[in-house]
This record gives sequence, C-alpha cells and structure tokens, in this order.
Amino acid sequence: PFSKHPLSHQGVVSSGTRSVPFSPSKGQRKMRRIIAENPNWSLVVVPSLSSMCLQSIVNNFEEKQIFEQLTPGQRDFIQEGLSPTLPLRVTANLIPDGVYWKRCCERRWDLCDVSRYGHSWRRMFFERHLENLIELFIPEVTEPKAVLDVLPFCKSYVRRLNVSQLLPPIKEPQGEKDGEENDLDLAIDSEHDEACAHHFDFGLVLRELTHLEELALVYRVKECGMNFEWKMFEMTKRDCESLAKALNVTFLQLFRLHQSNVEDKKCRLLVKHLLDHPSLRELDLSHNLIGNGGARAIGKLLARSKLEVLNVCDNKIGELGAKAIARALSRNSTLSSLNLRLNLVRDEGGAAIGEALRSNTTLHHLNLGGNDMTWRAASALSDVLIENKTLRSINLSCNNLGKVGGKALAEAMSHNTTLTELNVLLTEVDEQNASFVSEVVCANQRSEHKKQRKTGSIKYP
Amino acid sequence: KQGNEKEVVVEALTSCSFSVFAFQPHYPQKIMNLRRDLTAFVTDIQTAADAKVVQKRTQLGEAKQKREELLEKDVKSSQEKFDEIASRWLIVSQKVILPDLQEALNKQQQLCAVLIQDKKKLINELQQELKLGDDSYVKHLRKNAEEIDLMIERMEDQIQILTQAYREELAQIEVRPALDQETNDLLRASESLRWVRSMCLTLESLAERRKKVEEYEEKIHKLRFKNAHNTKVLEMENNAKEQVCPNMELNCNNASCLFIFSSGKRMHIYTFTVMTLCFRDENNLQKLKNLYTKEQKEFTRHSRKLSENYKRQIQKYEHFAVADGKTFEEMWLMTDAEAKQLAERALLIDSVICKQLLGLSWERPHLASLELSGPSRPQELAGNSDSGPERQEENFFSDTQEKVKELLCNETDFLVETKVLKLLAPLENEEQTDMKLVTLLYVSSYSAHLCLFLKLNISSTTETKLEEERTTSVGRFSITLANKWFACLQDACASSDFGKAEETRATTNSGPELINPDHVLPALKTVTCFCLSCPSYLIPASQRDSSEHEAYWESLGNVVSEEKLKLWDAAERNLKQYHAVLMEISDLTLETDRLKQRNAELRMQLQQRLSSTVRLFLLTIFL
Repeated sequence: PFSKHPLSHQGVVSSGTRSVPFSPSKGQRKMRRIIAENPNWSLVVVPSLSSMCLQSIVNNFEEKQIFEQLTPGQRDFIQEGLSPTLPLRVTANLIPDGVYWKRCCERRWDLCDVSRYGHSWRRMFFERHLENLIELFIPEVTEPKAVLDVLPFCKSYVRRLNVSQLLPPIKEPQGEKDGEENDLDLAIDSEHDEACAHHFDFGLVLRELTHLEELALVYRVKECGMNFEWKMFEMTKRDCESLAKALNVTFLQLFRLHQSNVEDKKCRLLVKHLLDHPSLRELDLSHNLIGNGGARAIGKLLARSKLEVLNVCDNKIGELGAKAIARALSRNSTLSSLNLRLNLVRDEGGAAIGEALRSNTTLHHLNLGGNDMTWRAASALSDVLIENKTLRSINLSCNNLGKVGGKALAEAMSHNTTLTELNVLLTEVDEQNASFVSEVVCANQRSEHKKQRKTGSIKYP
Repeated sequence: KQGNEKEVVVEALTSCSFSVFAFQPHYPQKIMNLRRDLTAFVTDIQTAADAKVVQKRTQLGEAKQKREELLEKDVKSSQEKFDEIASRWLIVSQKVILPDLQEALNKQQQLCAVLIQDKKKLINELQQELKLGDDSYVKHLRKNAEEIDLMIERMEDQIQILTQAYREELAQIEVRPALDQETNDLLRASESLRWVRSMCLTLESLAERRKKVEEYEEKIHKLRFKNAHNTKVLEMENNAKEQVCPNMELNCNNASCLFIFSSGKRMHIYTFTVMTLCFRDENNLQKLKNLYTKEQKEFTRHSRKLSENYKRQIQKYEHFAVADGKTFEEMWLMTDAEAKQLAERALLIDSVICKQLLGLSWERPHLASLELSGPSRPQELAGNSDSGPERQEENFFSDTQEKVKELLCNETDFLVETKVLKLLAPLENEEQTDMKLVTLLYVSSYSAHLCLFLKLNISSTTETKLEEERTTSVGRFSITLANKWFACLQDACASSDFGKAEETRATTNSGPELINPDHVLPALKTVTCFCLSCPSYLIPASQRDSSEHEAYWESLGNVVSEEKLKLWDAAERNLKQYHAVLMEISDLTLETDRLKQRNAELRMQLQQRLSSTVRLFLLTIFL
C-alpha cells in the first residue's frame, strides 16, 4: 500500500512545519508524514513488528512453544490467538487457566457454567472432555488408548467426573445366532454374556486421576429410542467388580451411582470395597433396586466409615434393612443426612430409626417420605423429637400417618425448638395439627435465623 | 419406570433451585417468607410426585398380583386339560379299531386345539394388557412432560419474582448506605466529641491528682526533713552536753556542773525518748536516714559550690577594691596637686598684691598641708601606735600561729563529734580548723542558734577574714571568742606553760616539723589578741579619714585668709577705679589722636587746593 515515490503524488507530502501542533514542545524537530496512495489505507492497519512476532509464535506454537519468557501482555495476546484445536499435550500444562481455555470450552459446548467448576475454565474443559470421551466410549470398538492418552494431561485438573451414560458393546449380527444357540447351553450363554456385555472399565481411568474428588455414574444409554433393551440400563457383574476395585484405589469424597439397577449383590460388592475407604464422605445410590441385603451392607459401611451423607432413596429397602441402618445409626457419629425416601421401611423400620436417634447426636436431616408408614412410626418419631436437639429437618410426606400421628407430632413439636423443617404433606394429618406444626417450624426458623445473624455464620442445607 | 423419570427431573430442578437460593447470607423477613413459600411449591410438587410413585407402585403391584393369579389359574386349568389329554392318550392307545382311533385322535386334537386356543387367548390378553400399559406409559410420559413444562414455567415465574424481590432489596441496600453514611458521620462526630470531652475531663482530673501528689510529697519531704533536723539537733545537743560536762568541770563550779549534768541527763532522757520514738518506726527512720545522707551529700556539694562561688566573688570584690583604691589615690593625687598649684598661685598673687600694690612686706604663711602628697599620710599621722608592733609580731609568727591553731583544733578533736569530723573531712585543711573552732565554741555552751549562724559565717571567713570581720556581729563575736579563749588559755596554759609546751612537743613529735616552744605562747597570745583586737587598719576607708581630710582640704581652702580677702577686695576696688580712669585716659588719647589726624588731613587738603588755584591762575595768566 505504500507509494514508492511520495513526491510524485499530489499532496502526498506535508512538511513538518505544518504539523507542528502535533508536538509543540519539540517544534524544532521536523516531522514527516507519508500518506498512502490507497485512500482506505490507514496506519492502524499496519501491525507492529512485535505483534507480528507474536502472531508467528501463535502460528508455530505446536512446533515451538514460546510462552514462559513473555511479558503478561504478550501472554494474553497469545492466549487470545492460539487455536483451540491444538493438541492437548502442547497446551495442557503450558497455558494457564484463562482466556484460552474459555475459548476452548465455548467452542465445544453451548452452556458453560464456570461457577460449577470452581471458576476454572481449564478444569471445566478437561472434566467435560474426559466425560465426553468416556460417554462415547464403545467397548471393543474404541481403543482404550484414546482415553488413556488424555489422562496424563488432565489428571491434575480433573476434580469431578459426572458420567451421564455408558454405552454397552455393540451387538454383532451373529449375536442372534448365539442367542439361538444359547437356548441349548445356558452355561455358555451366561459366560459369553458376561464376557461381552461389560461397559467401560473405570479401573484404567481412576487409577490415574489422583485429584478426583467426585464421581457420578449412570449405567444407561441416552436417547436410545426404539433400540430400547433392558440390558442397556444395568451394570453387569463384571462392571460392578471392576468399578468396586477402582473405587478402592482412588481418594474420592463423593460417589454417586444412579438408575443402574444395582441389586443387593452388586451393592454388597461395592460396599465391600468401600468399607475402608479413607476419604469418602457422601454416598448416593438412589433409584436402584437395593433391598434388605444391600441395606445391611450399607449399615455395616455406616458403622465403619466416616460417611456424612447417605442417599438411598427410591430403592426397595424394607423393615429389616431399615433396622440394620438404624443400628448403625445409633453407633455412628459422623452421618448428618440420611435419605430413605420411597423405600418400604414401614412402621417397624421407622420406629427403629426413631429409637436410634435417641442416642445419635449428629444427624441433622432425615427423609422418610413415601415409606408406607402409619401413626405408629409417627408416635415413635415424635417421642424422639422431644429429646433430640440436633435434628434440623424431617420429611414424613406421603405416609399414611393419620390424625393420631398428626396429633403426636404436634404435641412433640410444642416441646421442640430446634427443628426448622417438618414435612407432613399428604399424610392425612388434620388441618389443625398441620398448621400448628408449620407455625412452630416457622418460629424455630426465625429464632435460628436470629441466632445465625448474631454469630454471623449461616449454613444452608 | 414412568414415575422414575419424572422423579429424577423434579429432583434435578429442586436441587437447582436450592442452589440458587443457597448463597446470600442475610435476608430480610420478606425475602425469607418469599423463599419459603415459593420453594414450598416445589417441595409440594416433589411430594406429589412421590405420592404418585407410591400409587403407581401399588397399582403395579396389584396388577402384577392379578396377572400372577390369572396365570396360575390358567396354568391350573391347562394342566387339568393336559392331564385329561394325557389320560385320554391311554384310551387312544387301547383303541384298536381305526375309526375309533380316528375319532379319539380327532377328539384329542380338538382338545389340544382348545388348549392352544386358551393359551392364545391368554397371550392375547397379556399382549393387550402390555399394549395398554405401553399406551398409558406413553400417556404418562406426555403428561409428565406437560407437567414438567408447566413446572419449569412456574419456576421461571418464581425466579422472576425472586429476582424482583432481590432487586428491590438491592435497591434498598443501595439507598440505605447513603442514609447510613450520614447517620454514621453524625454518630462518629458526636462520639468523637464525647470522647474528646471525656479525655479532657480525665486529663484535668489527672493533672489535679498529680498536683496533689506533688503537694503531698513536698509536705512529706518537709516533715521528714524537719523531723530529721530536729532529731539531729537534739542528738547533737545531747552529745555535746554529755561530752562537755567533764571538760567543764575544770572551770565551772559544782553547782553549774550539777546543773549541766542534770540538764544533760534530762537531755539524755529526752533524746532517749526521742530515740525510742524514732525507733518505733524504724522503717521511717531508715528512710529518713537515707534521705538525710542524700541531703547531706547534696548539701556538702552545694556548700562547696557556694564557697567556691563566694571565693570567686570575694576575689572579684578585692580586685575591684584594689582598682577603686588605685583610682582613688590617683584622683587624690591629681586633685591635691591641682589644689596646691592653685594655693601657690593664690599665694603668689597675694604676695604680688602685698608687695607691689600695697607695698607691704609679704610673708609666706606656714602650711604643713601643702607638703602632703598622698591619701595615706594623714592616717599614718593619726594611726594607732599599738598596731605597729602587733602587726610585726603577727607577720613574724604567722606560720607558728597557723600551726598552733591547727594543733589546738586537732587536740580538741575529742571534744568534737565524730559526725562533725566526718562532715569536715572533705573540706580543706584551713576550713577544717575553722570549723573545729566553731564546734569548740559551740561546745563551750553557746546558744545553738548563734552557733549555727556563726558556723555559717565562719566557714566562709576562712580566707577572707578582712572582709568578713567588717560586719559588726562577727567583730563582736570575735571579741567575745577571744575573751573566752583568753580566759581558758590563761587558766590552762599560762599557769603551766612549760607543761603545755611539753605536751605540745609530745603531741607534735610525730609531726615533721617541731614548733619552737618559745614561740608557742606568743603565738597563742597573738592568736587570741588577734581575735581580741580590732585593728585600726580594718576600719573602712570612709570612716577612716573624713575629718582629717576635711581639715586638710579646709586648710588648703583657707590658704588665703579672710583679712587678706578683704584687703584684696579693697585693692580690687582701687584697681577698678584706677582702671576706669585709665580707660578714660586711653579714650581721650584716642580722641586726640583722631583729631590730630584730621587736622593733618585738612592741612593737606588746604595745601592741595591752594596749589591747584595757583596753577589755574598761572594758566590763565599764561593764556
């Protein structure tokens, strides 16, 4: 765009004397201005040499990484300019958390809520990247190397894995034939089934992820449509074994396994490996098929580990299982929240848990909603409410407590000053008692609030 | 399965909503209520979903039970039929006739067909049930989806309401700080004012307290000092009395001795009581002692300083006195010379008048004063003849005198308190001796008051006796002192001067220089006499020679006598008359002179006029 001979053009050169106001203090110094032939050209367009250098660094970043020795401003420029498609082995440990990783994330996902990832874009990128890899992993088709290769880069950033689907292996066309043959030999069938139907093996991954704190798994297939099969929605025995062994190695605090048809056997297997886990604080096995056997195992776990939150809602835990859990509860001193919603605890189980709460001083939240309980359990629990000073919330909804149970609860609440939440919806408690209970709860909430204002610290459930 | 799905969604939503609400720490009541009521809706939905799940479960359980019963029944009936068929097979096998067989087989076939039909029917029924179930599931799903949509809508509304509430709250919070700022400023100002006021008050009270403390301290100090002083004085007195008693026995009669003894005893008792009193609060005494020693040190230091200062002052005065004397002498000489000159001149004039004017013989009047030339002369003339030899003697024995004085004092050390000695230790030798003398005097029953006064005075007289003794009191004192001493010495020494000399020699043997025993007595005498006499040269100059000088100056003034003056007046008068006549004469001579000159001039003019007329005449003649 430069004119080679500026004098040849009309009005190309303006002498410095006319542009004196530009630098009045140094009026003696003559200035020269060169105006381009192209009227659209302006000085702003011309990049400075340093920015060009930086641009070339950006362009050749994969071959040669120059980053550490740059000034902060130059680093920002490079982070703005780098391509998000660069291989992770280059960028993972070199580029700090910030603009670059934000760009990477926003390029791949529409919704990016960085606050859920500790406000770290890099962590978000790696966690979601790894989740995607695992979710799209097809056993026996995808090379395990694809996942394992990423691990060295992301192992220091991944804190949480939330795997929302696990694909089963693709059934070969000959599988049907196998099925026909299997009718003849059941033993072979089961063996074969176990051999081929297992999901992604977490042992490989969890061993590497030393910083992992939360792990949430669902053995299911999303959007399966008309290819629905029950097999897609359950973990096999071998899956369970490998997962249990893997759990034993890591140092995670939260383990969640939803909607994966975990029965007593698998539950026992998992719990067996979690018994001596040093750091586990929260266990969530909701929406499974755990019965009394599994509940007994969980009770054992409660007695031995330092669990703080246990969620086993929507399972099939009956009276015996509830009793086992209650027994553990009376001895445990760490659990602060217990969720037994939508189980089959019934009166006996409810009474057992109430009895256990007499000697427990740590449990803050208890959910016994939808457990087919009647006024007997309600009266047992209301006895406890008078004595216990640590409980903060109880949920007894969807139980057939009746008027008697309501009356017992109302009486108990008149002596209680600590409970800030008591849910008695859909329990056939009469209006009067229900309103009284809610009044007391409101008063308790207010006093609690005042207390917290005084101390200046508020904890929300 | 149906309920499950919805369940999960609801849970996710509620947890989400909770996480929204879970971070602001303080809420006002309105937002608290809002939160509770709004979330109550969500929790209600959750419980409703739970209830539905429970209902579904029971339904499913019932359906399952029914199905099982149905299947069981069916199994039973089909078993019966199968048994029937099986039993009929035996019959069929027994049939030998073909048509029968055929018939039986047909029957069998029919039965089987019926059985199969039954089964098929059952399967159909089950399939239908399944289809129904599927349909209802789909319906459920749709319903759930609708409900979820509704719920999402509602929750959005809730979130909007909540955000609105939060915004209002925020606006209030934003408005509030301005108000708060003002109130805070006011509060702070008033607070600071109050603080300053209270500070002032406390400061004042503190100052007052300090003042009071100082006052009290001063008072205590004074009291202590007074106490210490009193006790000390009493002790000293007592000691002195006790110690003096044996000495006094020598020259006091028995009565006085007894009196002294009794008084001493009384004093002793008094001091004893005082001591016991003092002993009572030993701590106090100890403190007082400490204070006393401190004060003592301070005092010695102070006194030394003062004495030095005094010495310096005295030197200064001496210097000034000498200078004044010199100037006085010079002035004297000068004025004297002038006066003499004037007198001489007057005499000369007198002689001239007498000789030349009056023609009388003039005699020079005899005036001794004219021969004087210094201010000291008249003193010498009028000086005491007694002081002459004494001074010589004094000069002669000055060394011995000093020694004797020292000796005397050292000898009488036993009379002096050790405390006093200790006190005197830091002082110079001469001062020490003087102090001892004072204490000795004190011992010889002088009133304490006078003694203290003298002590003060004498301690400063050490080297500057001349000036000090000008004060009459000291003079008087020295006289009395001398008298006392003289009496003492007369008794003690003069009676047995040999013994005394012997004693002196014995005591001074150890010393490097021996005092000549012959010089001892005269020296002593001189010491006493020195004290006794008040030498004339010590009389101040102003008193010394006023009358003599007056006479002197008078004589000078009266060189020319009254008669002579009268004579002079007469002469003057005559001379004046004579002078007037002479003046007249001189005037007249001047007049005559002038007239003479005039005459001459006129003559000249006449001459000229004459000559000119002649020439005219001649000219005319010639013409």
